[in-house]
Amino acid sequence: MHRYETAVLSALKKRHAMQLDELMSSTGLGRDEVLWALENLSKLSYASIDKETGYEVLLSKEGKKYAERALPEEELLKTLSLKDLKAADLSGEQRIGLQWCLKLGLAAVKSGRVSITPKGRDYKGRIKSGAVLTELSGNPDAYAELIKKDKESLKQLESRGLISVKEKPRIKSIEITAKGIHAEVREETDTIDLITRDIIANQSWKGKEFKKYDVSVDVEQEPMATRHPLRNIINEVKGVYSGMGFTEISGPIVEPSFWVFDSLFVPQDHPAREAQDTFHVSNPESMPLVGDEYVAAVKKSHTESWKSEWKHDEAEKTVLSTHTTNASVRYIRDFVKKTLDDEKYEPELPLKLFSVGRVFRNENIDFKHLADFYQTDGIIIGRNLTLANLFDTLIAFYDRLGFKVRFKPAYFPFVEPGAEIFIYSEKSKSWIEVGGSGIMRAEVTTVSRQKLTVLAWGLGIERILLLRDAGISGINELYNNGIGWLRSRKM
Amino acid sequence: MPNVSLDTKYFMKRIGSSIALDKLSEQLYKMGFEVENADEKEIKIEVTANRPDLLGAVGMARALRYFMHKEENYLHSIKDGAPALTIAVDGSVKGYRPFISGIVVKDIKLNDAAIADLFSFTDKLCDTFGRQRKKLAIGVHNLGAIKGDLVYTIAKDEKMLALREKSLMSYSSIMQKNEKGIKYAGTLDERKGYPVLKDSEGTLALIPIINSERTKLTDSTRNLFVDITGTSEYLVGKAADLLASIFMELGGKVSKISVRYGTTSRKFPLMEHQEFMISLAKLESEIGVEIGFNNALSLANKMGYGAAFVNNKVRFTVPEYRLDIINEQDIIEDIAIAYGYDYINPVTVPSVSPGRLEAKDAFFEKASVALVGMGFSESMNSYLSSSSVNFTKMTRKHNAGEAVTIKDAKSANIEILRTSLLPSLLSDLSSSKHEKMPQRLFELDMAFYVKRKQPVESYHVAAVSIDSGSNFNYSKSVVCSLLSALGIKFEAKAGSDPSFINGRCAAVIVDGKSIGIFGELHPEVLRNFGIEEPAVAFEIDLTGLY
Repeated sequence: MHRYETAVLSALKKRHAMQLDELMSSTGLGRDEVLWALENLSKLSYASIDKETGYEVLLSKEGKKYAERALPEEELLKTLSLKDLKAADLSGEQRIGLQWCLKLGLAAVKSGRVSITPKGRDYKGRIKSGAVLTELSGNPDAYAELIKKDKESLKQLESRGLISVKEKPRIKSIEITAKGIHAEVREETDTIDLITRDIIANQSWKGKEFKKYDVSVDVEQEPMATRHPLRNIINEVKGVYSGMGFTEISGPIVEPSFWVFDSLFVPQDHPAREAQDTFHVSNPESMPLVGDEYVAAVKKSHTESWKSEWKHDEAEKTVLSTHTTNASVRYIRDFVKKTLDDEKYEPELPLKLFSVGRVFRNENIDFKHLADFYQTDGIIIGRNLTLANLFDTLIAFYDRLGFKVRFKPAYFPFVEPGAEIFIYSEKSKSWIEVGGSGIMRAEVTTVSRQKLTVLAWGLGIERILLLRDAGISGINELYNNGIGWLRSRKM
Repeated sequence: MPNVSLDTKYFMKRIGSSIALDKLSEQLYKMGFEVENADEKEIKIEVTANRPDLLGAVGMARALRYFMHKEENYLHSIKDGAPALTIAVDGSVKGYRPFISGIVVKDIKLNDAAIADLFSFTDKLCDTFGRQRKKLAIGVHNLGAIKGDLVYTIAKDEKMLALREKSLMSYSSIMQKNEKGIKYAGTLDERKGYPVLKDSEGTLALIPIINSERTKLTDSTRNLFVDITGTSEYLVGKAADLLASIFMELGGKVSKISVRYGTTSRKFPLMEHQEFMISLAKLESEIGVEIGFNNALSLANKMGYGAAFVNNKVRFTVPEYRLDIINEQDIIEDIAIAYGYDYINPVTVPSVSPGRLEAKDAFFEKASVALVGMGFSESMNSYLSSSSVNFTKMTRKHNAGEAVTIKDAKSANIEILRTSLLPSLLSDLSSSKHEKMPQRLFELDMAFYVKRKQPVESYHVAAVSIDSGSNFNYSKSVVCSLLSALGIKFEAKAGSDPSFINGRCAAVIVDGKSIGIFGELHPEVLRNFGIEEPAVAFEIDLTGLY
């Protein structure tokens, strides 16, 4: 008998029924070691193990927040009990609350006004699922009891992503059998169990047998340190680009509006520039532009093409970049300047460049929307480049990432012709939009189009991961960074 | 991008024949418009922002008829004659809402569906393209109710009987009480007065807010006057052309009106048709396909252009209703769309040099691999943070002006760009209580400050280890291993950082400069993040090291 087995059996002889943790502390053995010994003892019918279904319950970030305060529908109901609200004024969270209130018949919407129903007014105390959530946050083990009483609330919490539940068999009790009580506790001495330094040094294994282990024994997984799945995708994308002959560039994140909008021919009164969509910065509120000939050229093309006044201060307003195209357009500007300043400067064409970076949108953050996420931009500067060249490049790019591509005509102020890019998702069996592309307008490149053409595109990165990894449900999950989530990712 | 919803029955009638809904969606997709929803009652289409002429059933059906070769395109024209109406523009509108145009439509008969679509079209046009009526607004009147010539002027706070109101109201009370007045308050500067259109009997419209009850349309109205005002002379003129084309499609007879500015006067609609000469070679070489002359003309017609073959080039005549054609690239795109994006055969761009990544990538990879090797998992967090998480929870002081600060964020917990990575990591770990120990996370990414009123963007590496055995020496051994793997020599000096325990924290000194900090995190900081086990951490600014 192995010494783990003798230890466990001796302990059980003293106290006939024990819990796993009691066994661990009385034998001084680890969890895996006790489990292994028990497995063997039960095969010998010395011990019987009673297993039951156990649950591992984790609260998501949102789940925790609601457990501390209250569910959005509870908050909304509280507000509604004081006054009606305009549907259009509801915040993102209140909207979630409204959906559930409507479902439960606690609130009603009539011609744009949200009000509490008589049923809602009668509602005293907490909504069931809210109470359940709070109870779980205090004691995750309560799940096993709760599932018997209120399965519906638990299901709802899980489908809302507030809790996650994994089934995990749990040892209920361990008992020694009659056979075990009478069994002799004897350690085997003629077989070798644990290999020690001495055994190797003294060659004392010679003439002895190694104890055979049960290789089918259950073990816990070794916790693994990992790269972030999103970083893996970013690195993969960079690898695809460099394999296709692209050189990496990068651009700033805190930018004057000029490089995010004006230089890309986005008119100054375009709604995308407003605080509704773009993060405006109050410190530093503006970033001075050097009034060079390029700024003058941008001013001229805006004034002529958009038939409205172009304001220098508007272009100096600081924003967080809404795309990575600012890196491309800054590069194009430097390139053009070099070719203008130095007649002998003749780089080999086509130039292929890409960037990957964080971009920002003023969004209400929820499971579908983030306020910052990744984008990649690519450009090719060359002679006689065509739409057929653009399509080929994007088809090749996505082919290496495992996706089929389709193009739809589309409008972006800085490219013409323009195309939206759709990739086919096997997961949802549909075409999904992943970005925009086109041939840069002459107004943007300020390169005579007779000589040079610039192909350009901007693509989302997170999408690729979402479409590939069946285990990831929403974009916000990518930035959760729960250590358990990171440890359980497939590479 | 604006969404338009069209009445399915009316739309099909305008197209001229019934088309299966899925075939319709496919055709629109090929033209560049996504159908969000289509059923027997309603068709919802996402229209690109450059095509105001497609914001209603009339324009969209016209484009579809051409695209599907159901109809030969034609360009509308209107005979010059005595103006059907005259508008005198007062100098006072200058610098406020300076431009006006308009059209007169006669003998038009519109059923309910047509009227509903027409008003939905003008509303969409003014809300999206017209920037909530600031840049462009349209009013439709019963021509028969207008007495004499019109004056466009800035008035003081006078009274009018506004559409659907029961009694006379002053302009200022319309702005405060009427639904449209409230909605479009942003278009006016009431201190400067009120832009109005008047005839001999009084106010026809408070512009760009509301028309008068007197000139409202009735079932028997057959003759219309449409006013168009705005801040861009070009758009106000082109919008008259667009509306004229829509009313002509609907069977109305459009006549010109005269707008008098002082001594000069202009006639609207202009019915301007821009012309572009583009060589076939240029078309083919931009798109990357062979087209041929005959096909080029047919593709041009498919997109509604007039086209002819002149001196080895294609002469494109742009229909009056297109507001988006700035230069020949816009036309080339239309030809590519007509050719079909699905039919463009991809052609590979040769590479002349191998690809290359930025130097920092390799350095960052080395650091990341070293940390994973020491058991740290990589975390990636938002760059956006709040003063509370970034400073208060860390018991660090938020000095005025040091962080890049964001205005008007929709999310309440977004105020600044983070200045440090540790708060992000501690927030991540606050939700991992039930996971196996040790819990180790690192992040290598950007942090931001403001220095001399300029933003500074830098890369930091930071890590946190939570474990009952974590102590200062462990944090030092991790920093030593990491920096030695990266080939960086450093010195540890007693450091001070309120997030760490005083006396158990060291500054990382490289070339005499402090570039980071490591040690045991202060229990108060841990509690602030809901962490109940001891933790050590480091954060190093990598600027200048790679």
